[in-house]
Amino acid sequence: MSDEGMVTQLISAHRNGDDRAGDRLFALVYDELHAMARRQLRYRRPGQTLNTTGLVHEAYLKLFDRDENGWNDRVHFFSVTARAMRQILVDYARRVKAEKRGGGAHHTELNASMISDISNNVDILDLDDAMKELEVLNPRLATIVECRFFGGMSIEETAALLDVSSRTVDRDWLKAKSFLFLAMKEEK
Amino acid sequence: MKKLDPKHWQRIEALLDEALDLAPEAREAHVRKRAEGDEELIAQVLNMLEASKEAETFLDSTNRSDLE
Repeated sequence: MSDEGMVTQLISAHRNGDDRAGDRLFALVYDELHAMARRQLRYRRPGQTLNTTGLVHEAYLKLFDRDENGWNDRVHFFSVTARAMRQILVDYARRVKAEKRGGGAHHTELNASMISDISNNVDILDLDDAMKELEVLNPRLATIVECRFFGGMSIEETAALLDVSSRTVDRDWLKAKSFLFLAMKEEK
Repeated sequence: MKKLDPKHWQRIEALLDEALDLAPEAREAHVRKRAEGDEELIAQVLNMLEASKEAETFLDSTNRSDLE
């Protein structure tokens, strides 16, 4: 089966409550995004950062069958992709950190500066930790950060995914950012 | 913001929502009135309000130097 057909089936099964389909969907999207990220990194010029929004969109074009799937599947797909993007960046950041500590092996295409460059010098590992705190306090706020920051989703797309108004997402996004801003400041 | 539990966070968030609906100059007085002398809660909400100003552009994808 093509990846597109597989994705269509997995989205449908996951939306009907099949958690294993959700895991397989995540794994498939993760692998694809990861391969795309590696390609992008290979050709990047010094100082250029990973275009995470572009990668998510590329995965969408490649994996998502627009003839078979409706709007709800689309936002579902984007939220899974956003979560995979977060995981990829966290995995990269951990590897960079481990290699730095080890003092050797420069086999990774990544370096510390590019991870911190992804947005306004945000440390991905600090952000991930703060998001885990937020997930406990209010999971919806954390999901919004995932969609907006890691998935590049608009306020409207995020609102459709969560089935709330754009105004709610707008407000929650501000609250989430405020929380993370404080949590990460305290980390330092 | 250490050691918050979800229940306490709900109170912070509720007050924060109320405050954010008001004009900036009316927010602090409103929070103080509604928190009824709970100084810890007042400090936490005011802290969040302060952070919300600085956090406006934080994590904003439009600030990214993405390569297109």
